Amino acid sequence: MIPTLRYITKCGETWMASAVQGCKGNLGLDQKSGKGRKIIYQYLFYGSMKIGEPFSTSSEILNAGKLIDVKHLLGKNVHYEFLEDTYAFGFTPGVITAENGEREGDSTDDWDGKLITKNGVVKIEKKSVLVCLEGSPVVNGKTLTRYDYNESTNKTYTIDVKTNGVLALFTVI
Amino acid sequence: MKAIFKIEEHLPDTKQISVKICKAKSHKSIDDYAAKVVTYSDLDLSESGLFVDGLIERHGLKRIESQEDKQPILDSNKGESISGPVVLDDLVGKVIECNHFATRSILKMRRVEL
Repeated sequence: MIPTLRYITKCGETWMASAVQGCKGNLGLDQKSGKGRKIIYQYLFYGSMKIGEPFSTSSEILNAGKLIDVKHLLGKNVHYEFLEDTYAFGFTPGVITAENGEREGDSTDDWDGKLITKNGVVKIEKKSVLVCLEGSPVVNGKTLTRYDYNESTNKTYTIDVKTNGVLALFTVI
Repeated sequence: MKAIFKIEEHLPDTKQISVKICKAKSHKSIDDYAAKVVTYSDLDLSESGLFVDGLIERHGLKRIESQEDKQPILDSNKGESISGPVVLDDLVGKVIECNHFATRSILKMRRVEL
């Protein structure tokens, strides 16, 4: 069995990023220490996957190229199956860390996410995270690559997605 | 555990590489290990990180395990497995064997100022 590769990183106090890459047929279970799933948005770079609650008759298929709102699975145990070779990114609210460095709890921030695939100007007026997912878009004159990100609460982004750039913008509601 | 690899030959016609893999802390030079031909069509070549992780996960770990299995274990390091309830006092002074499972790697996000 070819193993699934899993990645995660904490980006400050407010959010975390994760990724999973697996082969067709690989199965997995998302349940963070019994507290259920934390991911609220997913983006598949390629492939497709089926996700749902164990023993439930309902499941959904996630396809590549869309930012998918999966908040309805928050806190639930979720199983997944890769229907093709798949590489997926996940956006997760952060954890609150106490002064002694121990995890104190989960962030209560709720986020709205959207993809930016067209040139334009985007004005940010709330706590937001801009993540480069695909291509080499140019933002405020800087060329980004996959997994470059910028955090801001008040900023104007002038975006040129070039030929194949895809950015995700997450904003606290 | 840090692993290292060295591609000896690229065979683009068959989408294969001839590659040597071992632990970075091996007491033998990587050049002293045999190269094996592996297919890279199942590896993601869009990013170096995915390529490296995929190569090691799919082709390296078993090979390193096999290399380790061929190494002799010092008598003083020969462990025993345990099961059932943990009684720490019974474990004092014993060598206990365990398996290490890698779970997750760090996703390499890069914060940029815009």
